[in-house]
Amino acid sequence: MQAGGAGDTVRGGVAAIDTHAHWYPKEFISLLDREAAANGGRMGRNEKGIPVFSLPGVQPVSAMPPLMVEPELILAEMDRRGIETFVLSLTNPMVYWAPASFGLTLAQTWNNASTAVHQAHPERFIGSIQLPMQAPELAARELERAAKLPGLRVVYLATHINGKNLDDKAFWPVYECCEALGLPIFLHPLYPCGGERIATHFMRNLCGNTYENGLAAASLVFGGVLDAFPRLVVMLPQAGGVFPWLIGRFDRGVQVRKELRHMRQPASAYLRRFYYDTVSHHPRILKFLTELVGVDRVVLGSDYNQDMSCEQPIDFVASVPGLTQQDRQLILAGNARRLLGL
Amino acid sequence: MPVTDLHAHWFPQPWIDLLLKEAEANGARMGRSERGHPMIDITGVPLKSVFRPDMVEPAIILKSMNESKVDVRALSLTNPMVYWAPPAFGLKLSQAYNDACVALHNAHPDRFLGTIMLPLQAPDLAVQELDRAAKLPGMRAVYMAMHVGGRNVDEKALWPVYRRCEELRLPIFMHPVNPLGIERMRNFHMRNLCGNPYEAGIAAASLIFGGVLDAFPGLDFMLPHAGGTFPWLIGRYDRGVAVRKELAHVKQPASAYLRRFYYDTVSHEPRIIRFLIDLVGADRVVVGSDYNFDMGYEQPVDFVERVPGLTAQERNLVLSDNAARLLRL
Repeated sequence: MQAGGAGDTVRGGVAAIDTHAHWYPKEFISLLDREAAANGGRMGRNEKGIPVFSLPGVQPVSAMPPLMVEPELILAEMDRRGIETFVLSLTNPMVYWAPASFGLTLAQTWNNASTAVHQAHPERFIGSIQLPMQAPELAARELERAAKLPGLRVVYLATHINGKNLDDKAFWPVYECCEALGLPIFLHPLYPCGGERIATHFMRNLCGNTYENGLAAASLVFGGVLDAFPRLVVMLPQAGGVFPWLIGRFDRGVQVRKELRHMRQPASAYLRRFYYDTVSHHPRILKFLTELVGVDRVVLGSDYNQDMSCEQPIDFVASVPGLTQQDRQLILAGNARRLLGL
Repeated sequence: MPVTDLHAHWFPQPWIDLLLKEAEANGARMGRSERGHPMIDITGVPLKSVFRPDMVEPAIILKSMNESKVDVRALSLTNPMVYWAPPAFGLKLSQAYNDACVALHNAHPDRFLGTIMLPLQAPDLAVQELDRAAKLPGMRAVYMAMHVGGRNVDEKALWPVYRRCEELRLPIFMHPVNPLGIERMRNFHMRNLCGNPYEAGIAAASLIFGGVLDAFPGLDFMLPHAGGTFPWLIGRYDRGVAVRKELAHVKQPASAYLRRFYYDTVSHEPRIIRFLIDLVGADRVVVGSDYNFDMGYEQPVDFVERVPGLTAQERNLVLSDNAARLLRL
């Protein structure tokens, strides 16, 4: 399919917003170059001269190629895909691996770069707020600061913080802040659990990342976070991963298990507290998802710019069977505008 | 047209007696639950299996079948299975289970079928026991966990067992046991709610990407819990095959293997079973109950009746015909 071909028809005048796109700002890379080693990480260059960050004994490593660094290259790629706006976010390694003070410096560097790129291209880039969650007090303070910066409309969190699930009470002050500020939380998998069992066949990504979404959603639902913060909205990447498809099992658990006796509603009552991006790589499964959670909860995503990304997300939406023109416009932009308060 | 439930668990009394007599000498601890039922505790396995009368006494199982419109049950072991034991005791446990299955089938040939338990920690012993058990009446499937002592099911050591299953035309019923990621799943019963369906995604990926389904084209697999996470990750698996060097050896998209599996109905969400039927075909979905766990169905047939848009033909396939084809009844 020609780039933008089907997209132009589908868009029907809608300025498409891609909510799942990754960016490594130059300033962030320079900071890692200078100080990662002193803080327990390792920066190097691969055979193509691309910056690569790694943590001892941890997979995957993080390569930072020009298409994920240079705003001009990213803009050209967005044009090629017919995307008006990217919501930019960090991905692995994020910042939780670092000692708290360096985690804060990394987060601030990311957030400042995010706001700068937004100001340079206000219609094209929206930023997300990275926080040093390994130190929740510092995270809450940085959140207060970053929320005032132009163009930062989202708080970005991993599906666990150094092995702690997201219902850990230590994180609740951050959730309280997010709710008070009216900022949605975008989740992203990071260094999934499973170890040796998912070491072959790329299962660490294919299975592990999507399992992380299930664990994160279960923790937020069962751990009381969504009850305690009733206006908090959470976005799950990779079309929610495995979470939506386990909802019957989660409901049954709520009915019969003593570990879930505290639950006042079925788990499925929380399905619509989440947004889900389109990165399922399967048009019919995405259609099922819209039927299960409502078409008003699905937003365009690409996972730019990894090999597991969806290169032409607008064409992908066009290939989803049985969507109306209005459904498509909601998925391409309307839902994201509501979610981001645009 | 008998309604056939392919996911129902049974702990035979002779099997429990063997554990009570010899498990401790083989590294497990036997105890009693609060209600006085026998219980096993194995190092490294968080789930301590309790052998309650409703999962032991055939009369109670028959009564539950009569009360839930189930005509036939294919019975299987579940946690702790037999892989934890030294090979010789694993073999003995397998034989005790298989012999008990046959005896029960012989007593109620129209109501019970058996599945063959094998000591997969010792594949040569497993093949030997498979050859013996396959000749016994009523044993229509092989039962195996989604990993064997932490090793995935594409491990080459298991291939002689697959080869023999294919030759004997016996389908393999898979079941989760002791799931991965436990350190993140301690709360909220997530070990079961998430961990068990996660195992199915890894087992299916291992069978596809590890070449088992290519090497044994006549082999059928059944996945419990409606396939767990597997069917819903198929787009991602396809993308992986398209772009990743780790999967450069895979000749077809992963989705070409969707119909190499059968899937039971234990999803607890009628709409998701509807989606599953649309995705894999009505001829690949079979009734399961997960008898007699709280996470199972008391009324598996009523659940099927609630699946939206089910045609009479689809209903017959799911309730009876698919199981008959899969088990060659």
